[in-house]
Amino acid sequence: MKEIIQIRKLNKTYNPDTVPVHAVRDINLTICEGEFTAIVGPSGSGKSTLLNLLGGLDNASSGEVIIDNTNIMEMDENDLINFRLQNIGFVFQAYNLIPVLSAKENVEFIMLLQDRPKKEREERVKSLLTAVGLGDRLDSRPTELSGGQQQRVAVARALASKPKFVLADEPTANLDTQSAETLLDIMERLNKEEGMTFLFSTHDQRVVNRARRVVNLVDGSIESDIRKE
Amino acid sequence: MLPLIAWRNIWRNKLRSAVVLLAIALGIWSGIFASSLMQGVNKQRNDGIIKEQISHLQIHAPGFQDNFEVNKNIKNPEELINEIEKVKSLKAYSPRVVSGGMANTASSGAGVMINGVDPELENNTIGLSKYLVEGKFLEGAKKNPILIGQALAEKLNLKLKKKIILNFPDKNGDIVAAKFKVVGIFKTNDSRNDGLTVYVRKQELANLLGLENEIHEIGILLEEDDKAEVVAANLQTKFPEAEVKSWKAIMPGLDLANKVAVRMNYLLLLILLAAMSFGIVNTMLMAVLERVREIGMLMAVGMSRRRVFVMIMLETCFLMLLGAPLGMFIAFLSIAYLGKYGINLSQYGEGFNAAGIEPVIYPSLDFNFYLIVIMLVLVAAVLSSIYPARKAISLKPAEAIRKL
Ligand SMILES: Nc1ncnc2c1ncn2[C@@H]1O[C@H](COP(=O)(O)OP(=O)(O)O)[C@@H](O)[C@H]1O
Ligand SMILES: [Mg+2]
Repeated sequence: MKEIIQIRKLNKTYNPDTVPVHAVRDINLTICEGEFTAIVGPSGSGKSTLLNLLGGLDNASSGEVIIDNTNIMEMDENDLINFRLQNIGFVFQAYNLIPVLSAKENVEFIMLLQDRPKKEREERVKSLLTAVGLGDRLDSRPTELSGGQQQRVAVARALASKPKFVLADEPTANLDTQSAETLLDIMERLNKEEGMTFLFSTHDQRVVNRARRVVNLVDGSIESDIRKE
Repeated sequence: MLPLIAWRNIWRNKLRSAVVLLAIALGIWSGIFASSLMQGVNKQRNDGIIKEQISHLQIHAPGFQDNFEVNKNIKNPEELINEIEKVKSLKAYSPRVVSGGMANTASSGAGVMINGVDPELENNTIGLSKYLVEGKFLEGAKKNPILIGQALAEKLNLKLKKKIILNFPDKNGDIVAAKFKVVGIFKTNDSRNDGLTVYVRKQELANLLGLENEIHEIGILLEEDDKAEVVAANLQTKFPEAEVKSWKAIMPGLDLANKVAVRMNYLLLLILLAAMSFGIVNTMLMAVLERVREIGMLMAVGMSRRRVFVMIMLETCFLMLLGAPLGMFIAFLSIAYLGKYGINLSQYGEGFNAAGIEPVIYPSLDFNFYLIVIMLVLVAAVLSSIYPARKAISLKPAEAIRKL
């Protein structure tokens, strides 16, 4: 299978000069196309830090993150923003959406940033929101949607830009069980049907059970990396 | 979509935006309105001095004004008057015979400027009849009627129909004494002038001076202030032996005062805009800080810093561009209304007359001023949006999002 992310000797130390916190230690990890991977670990184990480094949202202290033959740790901030726009879909724990835009506009927005043609945007917005079960809520503002629905819009938005993979940092953390199940169903289906690579963090065992690969983080180091089947 | 997002963002905090908009509108209104008051007062004083005292143009024999010598006169005024009547923007003109002299009554005396005028032409030119408080305009006496100001009447203790003796030198240098009868008393806004200037019939004064058709002065009133320079230059080239002066040359201080007033208006406007900009910067900074997570998320998913910058800039500019026209519109209305009906300040001050200001102020403003306000507002909008927008793009997405 094609490797799309290669992580080599990645370290991240917060406040190196004052109170150093080694949030990520010497991590080596390879993510392949089509994988559905959970980064698991207790709170404070470094999941968010790792995902931020993978997504080019933060600088590593040392090591490499290679996506598409490019070490993104060497890119400057402006190039990184564009790299993220073209290559990575993001789903955060909350505050994913622009509150003044409707569901439809939120999804379209990312494609506008990519300068995609109007026709393509409109078709894709409809099909994606339908795929996440919100075909009838196109014009709802985020405040008019439930937490689960908002996360589903965020997933649709993440896929709208046709990224190489989707990073989701605790996407279900604020959801009730039912909504979390629904969101995972949708992510699983998009993974199977569209072959989209998902990398998500969680500390919820029920979510972990749905993953096909589970990477266990303890104190910033990988303790185990298990592929199911 | 950026303008749409920016527009909707403004209305997220309706109360705050409304307060800011009102503050901007009020600031712009007060700046423009204060300017219109200043310009209104100025224009009235201008009009007053030009239309009631000096006229747009004055023509004399060279040197006449140095010491008002009888013989420094315009010899054959017919040709000159013919030419004046051909001037397109001419409103009125009045030829005068002028002499400096003493006005004496039994009890006291005062120095005066005696203007010998054709009553109708003079009235058309300086509109004196509307300032008559008693009597008539050089009518009501068969011989030697005189019109005097109220200030002089009080000084000499004169009343209507009383006699007054004028002493002045004739063309041979002999002092002439002539008796005049007060037929009218005027009171303008300029009490100093009221104590100095008297009006008699032109032909009677000419006879006393020993002149025939010579005159000393022609006052010319035009339709527009700005035409004065051109007309003056034209007449001057045609009559090089005369001395043609426009109002700006006659009273340089008047033009200067206008220019100073305009500068002051701009200064006032700049100060107000600066104050407003600080308020806007503050508001937008708050709006940015409230939205740290959202802006972090936008940059995380790939919104470039340039776009974030533009978005914040648009929000700032929208606030300014909503508030400013509102203020301008209110200013326009209030100036239009008060420019017509005036603001009556007579109950507040005696000082106005002495200062040559009418007690009813009619605000007025050049249309150009609005254009300059628009330009300044645009500049202020852009300038005050820079700091909040820079603040927004300096956010680090990872840190901003961690505030979740
Ligand atoms: N900005 C930061 N400054 C200092 N320490 C941080 C910062 N962000 C995270 N940490 C620390 O790094 C460690 C890993 O945090 P994080 O990656 O958020 O873990 P997780 O997402 O698994 O809960 C924690 O000990 C946390 O306190
Ligand atoms: Mg976390």
